[in-house]
Amino acid sequence: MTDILDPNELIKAGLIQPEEAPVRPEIKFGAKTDMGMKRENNEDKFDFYEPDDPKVLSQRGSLYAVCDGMGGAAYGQIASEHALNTLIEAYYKYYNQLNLDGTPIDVETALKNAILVANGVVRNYASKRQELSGMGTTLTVTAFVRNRVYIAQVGDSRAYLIRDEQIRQVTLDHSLVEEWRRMGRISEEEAARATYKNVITRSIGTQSTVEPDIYIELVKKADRWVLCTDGLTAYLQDEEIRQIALKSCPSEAVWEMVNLAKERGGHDNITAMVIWVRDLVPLAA
Amino acid sequence: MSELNANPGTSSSLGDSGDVQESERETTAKFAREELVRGWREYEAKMPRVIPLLKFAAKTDMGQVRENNEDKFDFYEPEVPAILAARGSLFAVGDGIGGALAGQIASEMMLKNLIALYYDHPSPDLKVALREAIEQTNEKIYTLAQMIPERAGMGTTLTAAVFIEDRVVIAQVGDSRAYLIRDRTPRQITHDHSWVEEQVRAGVLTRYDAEMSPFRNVITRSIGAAPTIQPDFYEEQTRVGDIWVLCSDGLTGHVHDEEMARIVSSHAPSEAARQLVELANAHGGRDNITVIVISVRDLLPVPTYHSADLAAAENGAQAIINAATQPASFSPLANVPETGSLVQPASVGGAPVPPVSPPQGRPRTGWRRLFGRGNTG
Repeated sequence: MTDILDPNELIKAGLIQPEEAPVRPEIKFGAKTDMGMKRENNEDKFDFYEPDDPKVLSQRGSLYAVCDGMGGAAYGQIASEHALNTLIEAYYKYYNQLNLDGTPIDVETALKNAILVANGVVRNYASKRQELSGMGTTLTVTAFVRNRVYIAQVGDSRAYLIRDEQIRQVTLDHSLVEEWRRMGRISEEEAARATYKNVITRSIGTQSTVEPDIYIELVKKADRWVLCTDGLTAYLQDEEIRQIALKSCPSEAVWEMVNLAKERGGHDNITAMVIWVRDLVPLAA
Repeated sequence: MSELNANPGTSSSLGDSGDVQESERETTAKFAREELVRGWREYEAKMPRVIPLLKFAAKTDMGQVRENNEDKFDFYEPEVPAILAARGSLFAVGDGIGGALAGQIASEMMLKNLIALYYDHPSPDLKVALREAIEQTNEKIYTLAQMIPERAGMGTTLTAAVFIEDRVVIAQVGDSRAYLIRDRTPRQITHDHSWVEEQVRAGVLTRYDAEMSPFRNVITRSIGAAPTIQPDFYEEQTRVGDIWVLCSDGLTGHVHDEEMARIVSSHAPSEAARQLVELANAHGGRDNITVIVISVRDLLPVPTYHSADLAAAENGAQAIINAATQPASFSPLANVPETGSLVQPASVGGAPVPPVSPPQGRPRTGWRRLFGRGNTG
């Protein structure tokens, strides 16, 4: 917080490429999680971490994540909470540690490792008592580091990118329907009306290890990212998400998305997060 | 594409169903335009003097003992200067009470209703709006609790902070707390509505006895417990560098004020919130823990914060229409019609202008659509 960071030092140390401007996105976000109309508890959770220290910012950036917990009784709630807490701690803890060859640990590895740690913690908790077995959670994380966004994905929550008025689903669901559709085993129509849509093929805490998908995107000014759980995407088309995210500020947009999903049934918990890149500013100028 | 697109041929308004006639769409666009122009004239006088630049972090945690979380936090940060001037940004925590899942439902319902009713209230006075929003929220939760036997006794605390210009208005019901940390010194702004706190203030118990009392969890006011509610209000001037902490009793039961002040003044809000929750858990974590840390980074004059808007304001209402009819715009001004319900119709030449009735055949947008349907419960 008190350090003034000299970008040239970073370039010298090989931490950033000279052409990679030492910028940080100035972000305003809105987030909302709701039980929905049918459930009486909320197993979804969102979390965020925005450091001030320019060193941490340049190495790890700001992190935003949503989780959709599963498991009987309130155990989904425990899974999503433990996963997010562990993820954030593990991701930021070793931000200035180096690999054996002296190079810094890159964001992608840090994210993957943090997810593995979170997986271990949730699984360890679940193994303590019989009734907890089967608890787990999906996880969709975005880390805004300098001029890049790193997205890590496990399960069927989603990240959308809205840029130049176009919406694009960045992540691919780890669900049975989606994987069969991609394999060509079922057609688009069959996928659309499948009854087993909620079967997911990867999750945090259910297996001894987990392989997250990692996506990397550039950050542009005025980008809007939408992170959401399946309680939202079950009711809103991509086009509707785009329009709502574009026409209002993040706080208002998440209200509107959640309310729309509830009006249309809201059988599941609903979580939406809109992350708006207001500006790209020089890092610790 | 904007909702206000005047060209029906390319209109793709959200939720427009196929049975809407083209002619109706056109009328809609005209109405919205007039409303828009008049709305902006009303608003020009209502620009905030300064906008607080806030950085906040929030965290809620089950604690070490409980296996569900009845606490909840919520926040609402508008972007439109006019709404910022009239209502500011709101941050709130609620600590639900009641067996089984009732506490969780109460705190979620309370925060949703509070935010919706507060931002949708027509009063120009934010305290009136806040008070009535709390009263109506109380009524809703009380009614629900009476209707369903297994939810009798459900209720929630509320500590809400509204940041408007350089002021902070706090509303308080129950034993969640608001602290102001200025120059590393904590000051508890709110007084708990708890039995022990009342005994302390009456001189019956000492502060130490109160902290040790087995009745320290008994609260004397809560939202949803009685048909009427009397919230306490506090108002403070805020300065650059101030840090505000809103928290539930799961934190204050385990972490002392000085310790809290030390942590929040030496870390970024995100890290401070994480450490506070960690500390409360390390000290036992008997209850759910919720904390919001809000750091006042700057008090910006509007032009700095909203330079794009100001440029538009110079061109007057025409700029808004342009912004609204030309799809390639991220300007927050595209939001102006959203706030229509806050505007009283202006009078022209002494004659009152009849309020513009909502056009039929088109889903209504704006605050009424967002909040006003009573679907917030």
